[in-house]
Formats: sequence, structure tokens, C-alpha cells
Amino acid sequence: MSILYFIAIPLLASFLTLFFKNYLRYISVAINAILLVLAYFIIENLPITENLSFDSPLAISFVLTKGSAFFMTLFIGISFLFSLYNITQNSRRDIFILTNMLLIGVIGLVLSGDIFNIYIFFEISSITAYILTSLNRDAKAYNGAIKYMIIGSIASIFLLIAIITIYLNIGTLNLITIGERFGYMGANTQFLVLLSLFIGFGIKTEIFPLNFWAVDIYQATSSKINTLFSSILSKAYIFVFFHIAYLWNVDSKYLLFTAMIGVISFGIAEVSSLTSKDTKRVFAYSTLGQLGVLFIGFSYNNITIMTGAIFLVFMHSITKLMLFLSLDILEQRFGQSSIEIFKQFKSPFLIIIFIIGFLSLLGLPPFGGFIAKLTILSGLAGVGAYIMMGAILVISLVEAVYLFRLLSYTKDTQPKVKISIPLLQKAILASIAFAIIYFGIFPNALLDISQQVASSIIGGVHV
Amino acid sequence: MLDSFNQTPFLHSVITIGSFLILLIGLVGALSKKNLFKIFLSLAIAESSLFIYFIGMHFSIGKIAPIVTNKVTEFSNDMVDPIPQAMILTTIVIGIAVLSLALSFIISYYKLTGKMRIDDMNELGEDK
Repeated sequence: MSILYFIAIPLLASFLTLFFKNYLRYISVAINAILLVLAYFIIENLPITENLSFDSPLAISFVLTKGSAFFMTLFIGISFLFSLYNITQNSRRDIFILTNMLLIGVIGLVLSGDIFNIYIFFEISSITAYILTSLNRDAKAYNGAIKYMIIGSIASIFLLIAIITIYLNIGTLNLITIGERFGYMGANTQFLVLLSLFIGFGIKTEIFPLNFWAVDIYQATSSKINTLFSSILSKAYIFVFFHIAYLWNVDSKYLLFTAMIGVISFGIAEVSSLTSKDTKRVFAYSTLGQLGVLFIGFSYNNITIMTGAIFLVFMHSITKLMLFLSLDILEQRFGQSSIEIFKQFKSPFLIIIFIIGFLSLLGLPPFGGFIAKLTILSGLAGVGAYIMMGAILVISLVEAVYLFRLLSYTKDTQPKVKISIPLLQKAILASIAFAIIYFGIFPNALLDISQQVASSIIGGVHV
Repeated sequence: MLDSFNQTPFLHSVITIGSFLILLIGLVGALSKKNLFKIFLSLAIAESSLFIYFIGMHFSIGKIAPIVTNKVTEFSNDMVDPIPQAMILTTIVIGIAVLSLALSFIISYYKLTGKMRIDDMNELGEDK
């Protein structure tokens, strides 16, 4: 079976759904389910390389390794749960089309073996994200969308500079061939390429100092859409960014630089969140912080740390899916997202969900986030990066302060509003919570997969 | 003397300097202008400098376009590299799509709020 189906099926679906307006939601869920089944069957015969039209250096190539397969399956799974969550609500119809378009963008990003194709899918996912930001059609949403477009256009200009410099100097666009010839470029040219790539992808991965806009974007959209940004989009960009870095065997100083940037980003995001008065902004800062930890995890060329980082990608994606969807229920009920809503709702179910999510984000046992952070920290101890370990532990304490502050608000004695949640949404949230606890207590299967994915990313394409 | 203008190295240096200046104009405009239309226009200018640079650096005097016609029947070394041209065509299309989307957002935003300057955009923030 061709791996192009993973791009072609959602692409066809998002155009065909225009003709089935009333069944749009069911088609969307069905498409995601089909893709999940296809992903399950294709995983057995990895790695797969597929070339279109010519042989390798000239052709457009798509590569499915253990690394890209993991990320692809994760994205399809999250998109499936997201569409399922939306099926019962009277959601706007275009959200399903845009979810499919976003899925095309991120799957294309992780599958491309060709830097210009990465640019194309980078743009597809960005344009979809702009439209998703403006989906509420109010002044806030357009404000966010315009800011996002300005910063996104700058990102794509810098990515284009990197691509052009590479093609002018080594005459190829194929990622593997670039990796073979990357050392032939002069030191200054390499610096220009890596700097442009860092600016291009750094803006999109919401890393300090390029993430000043990100919190506004999270505030501008509804919590539902933030799920897609936090769980899918930023993860895809992080994978591509570090996949490229390891494929090209970049200088270890560059990776040290990204690790430093990661820890600074983590610190600044967590400290900024202390004064935040909007729940969406709090969760956005938390996402920025976790992306900083992921930057640290991906930056060490070490199998244990990378395993922890992959585990954290999985845990953070499903945790943020759960938290933002729970927040969406509150936001729809109260019509706002200020921190005050935590004092006003009454729902034991949602409180339990929030407690599980927060404790997992903090990395406390017996939740999945604990295993992820433990693996990263033990790996850092193994390579002797004690300062980095200390920094992560101290900053996690700051994170604890504001998450527990949110929880303490639920004990407030204000008159409460009872929240009723439809059964399907309850089931989705409960199953994610169950997964977080399950992988916290029995992490071995997922750790094993994470290790294979990690060795695939560190080792190059055909592993 | 005018002959030296018609040489590939001279052409390439003119293109390099010129496109770098255009890139600077675009980026400086995007950072310094306050009107939303002007910001996106500046970004489009910055992007177009990359198109000029990429196509220009792959052109040398005496080479022909990579198109098979009645006279030119097969691809040869006399042609310029077709890959940059295909790439830039794609990029131009993407650029137009992004620009038109941006303009539609600006128009909708203006209809809702009557604001057109980036420093007036105050719907988002900590105390909103």
C-alpha cells in the first residue's frame, strides 16, 4: 500500500465533504478512523521510501520511518478524538474540513523527504491554522489571525532563505543528499542555513524568543481549536526541526544552543503564567513551557533523553487534548474564559479530570508525565548535565504553583453552576484520563515504542 | 566597456546586491510600518526579493529557457536549471494565496472594529 494515501484520503475527503453538508461530521470521523486502521496495518513493514516520477535525488520523496510513523499515528488519533468530540455538538461545519486540511499539512510535514515539500506542507498547515484562528469571526479572532499571519509570513520567508541557500550551494533538495553534502558548505553558509531554519521553525514551534505572539493566538481562538495547535501543530514542527538537524549531522554546538533556548523558554513561560488571569493564557503558557522541555529532550544526542522526550510528546499531546476540551465545556457554558470560571462551576467529574491533567503535566506519580520527566532527568544525569536537571526541577516547582492555584479556586464558596456533560464527551475525556494513568503505571510498552522512535530519529532515515 | 555589463558575474552581483536591498526594504517595512495593508505589502516585497535572487542566480548569459519547442527538441546543458523556476512558481502561488487571505482578514477586522493600525489592535492581552 502506498503511503501517499495518508495525504490523498484526507485531501479528497475535505473536498468531497462540501457535497455532503449534513453528513460532514460523520464522514470526517469515518475518514479519521479509516486512516487509523491504515496506519495500524502499514506499521508492520517499516521503513518505506516512495519516490514520485524520478529516481532518488531528483524526485519528490516520502519516507515513512518509525519516527514519522509514530508522529503520524499520534496526529491521526488526536484528530479522531477531536472530531468525535465535535460530533455531538452543533459545531460549525467548516471545523471538520479544516481539521482534515490540518491533518494533511502535518502528515505531509512528517513524511516529506524533501525540503521544498516540507515548505509546501509548512504553508498548508500554516494557512489552515490562520483560518482556524479566525473561526469565531469576532474582533478577537481576526486580531489573533492577523498577528499570526504576520509572524507566520516572516517564518516562511526565513525557511525559504534556508532552502534557497542550500540549493545554490549544494544543488539538491533531498534531505538525505543534503545530509551527505552538508559538510561541503563553508562554515558561514552553514551558520546562515541553520540560523534561518531556527528562525523559521522556532517561530512555529513557539520557542523563546520567538513566541511572544503565541499566547495571544491561544487567547484569540476557542479552547477547542487550541487543542489542535497545542497537541498537533507544534509537535509536527518540533519533529521536523530536529529530524532535519539529526539527518544533516549538524554541529553539536547548535544542539547545545537549542537546549539552552529550551530551558530559557521553559523558565520564562512558567514565570509569565503566574500573573495570568485567563485560563486559556495559563494553558498556553503551560504548553510553551512543555515545548521548552521537549526542546531540551530533543537536543541531546542521547537515546535515553530522546526516549523520554518522545514519551513526553505522547503524554503532553493527550493531556492537553483532555484539558483544552474540558476547558471548552466550561467556556461554552460561561461564554468566557477568565480564571473566575474555576470558582463557579460544579462538576466533580471535571475537577477529577483537571487534577489528573495537572498532576501529569507536573510530572508526579502515578501519571504518565512522571515517567516522561523521570526518563529525561535520568538521561540528563547520565550525560552529566546536572545544571539542566536542576533548572528543570526548579522551574517545575513554579509550574506547580500556578496549577495548584487554579485547583484551589474550585474550592471557592461562590454560588456554583452545575455543568452537565454529554455522555460521549464524558467517555472521551474519561478514556484519555484512563490512558494517562495506565501509561503511568504500566509504561513499558510505550517506553519500548518510544525507544525505537528515538533511535530512528537519532540514527537517520532508514532505521 | 559596456560589454562587461553583459557578463554573468556582473549580472550575478547586481542581482545579489539588488535582491538583498529589496529584502531589507521589505523586512524593515514590515517592522516599522503601522498600517496593516502596508505590513503585508512589505512582507510580499521581502518574499519577492527571494524569487528574484533564486531565479537570477541560476541564470547565465547565453543559456535558454528550459522549454521544449519545435526548434529545441531535448533537454541539454544549454538550458538553465528548471528546478528553481518550478519551485518559485509554486512559491508565488502560495504567496498570493496567503496575501489574499490576509487582506480578507484585514477587511473583516476593519468592518467589525473600524481599526486599521497595528498599534490600535488591543482586543487581546492579560486584562481582556
